[in-house]
Amino acid sequence: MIRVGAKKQPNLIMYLDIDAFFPSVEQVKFPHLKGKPVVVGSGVVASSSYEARRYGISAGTPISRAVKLCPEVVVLKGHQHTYASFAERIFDRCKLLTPHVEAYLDEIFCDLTGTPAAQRPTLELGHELKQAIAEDPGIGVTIGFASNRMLAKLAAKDVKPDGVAVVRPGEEEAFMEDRPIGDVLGIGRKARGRLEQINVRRVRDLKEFPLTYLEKIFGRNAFLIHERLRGRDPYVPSLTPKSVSRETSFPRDTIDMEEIMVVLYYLTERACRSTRTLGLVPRRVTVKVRYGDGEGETASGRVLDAAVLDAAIFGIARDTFKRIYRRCRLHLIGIVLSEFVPARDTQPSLYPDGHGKRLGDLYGTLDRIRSRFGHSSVIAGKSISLMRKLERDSYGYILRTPSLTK
Amino acid sequence: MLVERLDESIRVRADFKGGTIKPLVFVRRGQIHRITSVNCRWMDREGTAKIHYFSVTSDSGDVYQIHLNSGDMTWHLDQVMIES
Repeated sequence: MIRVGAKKQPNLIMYLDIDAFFPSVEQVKFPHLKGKPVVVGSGVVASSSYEARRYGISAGTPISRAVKLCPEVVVLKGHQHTYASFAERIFDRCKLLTPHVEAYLDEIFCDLTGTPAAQRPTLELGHELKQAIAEDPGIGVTIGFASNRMLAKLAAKDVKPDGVAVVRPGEEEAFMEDRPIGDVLGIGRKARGRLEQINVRRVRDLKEFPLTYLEKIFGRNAFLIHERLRGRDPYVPSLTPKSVSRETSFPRDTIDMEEIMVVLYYLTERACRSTRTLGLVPRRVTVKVRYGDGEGETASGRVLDAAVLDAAIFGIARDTFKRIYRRCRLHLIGIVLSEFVPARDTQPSLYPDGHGKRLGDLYGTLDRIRSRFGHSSVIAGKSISLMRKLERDSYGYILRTPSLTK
Repeated sequence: MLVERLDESIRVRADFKGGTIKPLVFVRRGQIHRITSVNCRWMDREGTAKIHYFSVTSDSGDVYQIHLNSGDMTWHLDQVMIES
C-alpha cells in the first residue's frame, strides 16, 4: 500500500565490528585465556587481544618482538575456518534484522532502512544485538548506527571495544566537524601528509576549501570528499569485488625458484577458483613480493583470455614475477586478480581451438569436486611438492600468513 | 599455557536433543573424562559432511577441542590446552 504524503524514512546503516576477533574466539574456545594477552599469527601478529595491545602489540608486529614486549603473551597459530564459522553465526543474527548485509571477515554493514528494526529505539536495538552475540557465540562486538556507512563506522570507532553509538539524523555535520582529516574515508596517508604541511588537520579546516581546490588534491574523488566532510556519503558500494587476492609468507625466506613457483601456482589456483565461483573474469593480474629486507614491489600484466584458466593466469603471474624479482631472499609472495568483467560478457575467441573449451570444462569439473570434497581432494601436479612442506586440511594447504580476499 | 595438537579417535557419550548435540563424557586411551562444561561449539564442513566442533572442559580442568564428523559419525580429539 502506498500512503500518499508519507514521509520517506531516513537511511539507517548499522556497522558491527567484532572486537579483537581471532583472539576473542580463542578466549571463548579456551576459557583459561580470558583476561590474558593473546596473539594469533605465525611470523607476524595477525590479531592481538586488548590485553596484548596494552603492551604495544598490534597486527603486523613480528611474533619475536611481541614475545619481547610481553614475555607472558600466549601465541596461537589460529585457524581461519574456525573464525569464519564464528563470523557466520554473527552474520546470521544480522540477517534476521535485514536482508541487506555486507559482511567482511570481522565487520558487517547492514542497511536497516525501511525495516521493522529501524522503527525501534536505535540504542536499545544495538544493546540487544550486542547482548545476544555476547551470549552466542560469546564474543564482544562494537556497533555504530548512522545515516551512512562512513559515519556508522566512525561512531563505532569512538566507542571501541564493546560499545554502541548512534549518530542521529541532523547531527552528521556536527559529528564530523572536530575529527582529524584522516577519519574521512578517502583521505589516505599521502593526502593527509600534504594537508598537514599546510596546517590543515581537522575536518573543519578542510571544509573551508572550495571544491575546485579539493579537485586539485583528490582529483575525481573531490566531490565525494567534499560531501564526506559534511557527514554525507553518496558512495554506493559495488556488488562486484574490486579484487581477489591470495598471499603468503614463506616458512623461511627463500631464493629457491622452484619453491617460489610452486607457491605462486598454488595461490593462483586458489584465486582463480574464487574468481570462477563469482562468475567473473579478471583483466589484470598483479604479483606482489616482499623481500627479507622488508623492501617490496608489485607489477601487473594484462589478461586477454575470455576464461579464467589457472595455467594461463599463472603464465602471466610467472612472467610478471620474473620481471620484478631481484634475486634475493623472498619473504612473501601474493597474487591479485582485478578489473573484473562478468564472465557472460566476455568475447569468446573467433577461432576456437577446442583446447581452451576443454580446459574450461576441466576447471569447471575440478571446482565442483573441490567445492564438494574440499580443495585438497585434487592437488595439481605443480603444487604436489608442497605436501612435504606444508600441513593440509580439507581446505588445502595451511599457509603461513594467508590473506583473505578483499 | 600449552596447546598440544592431537588427532585421536575417541569414544563419546552425548545427548542429541532438540537438534543440538551435548557431549557428556569421552574416553581417551581407556581413561574416562567427564565434561563439566561446553565452552563453545561451531560448525565446519568437510566435503558434504558437517563437522561439529566443541571446546569442552573436563573434570581435570583441562580444555579439549573435540569434533563429531556427521558423515561417518566418528568423534575425534583435536587438541588439548593445559594450564601450566
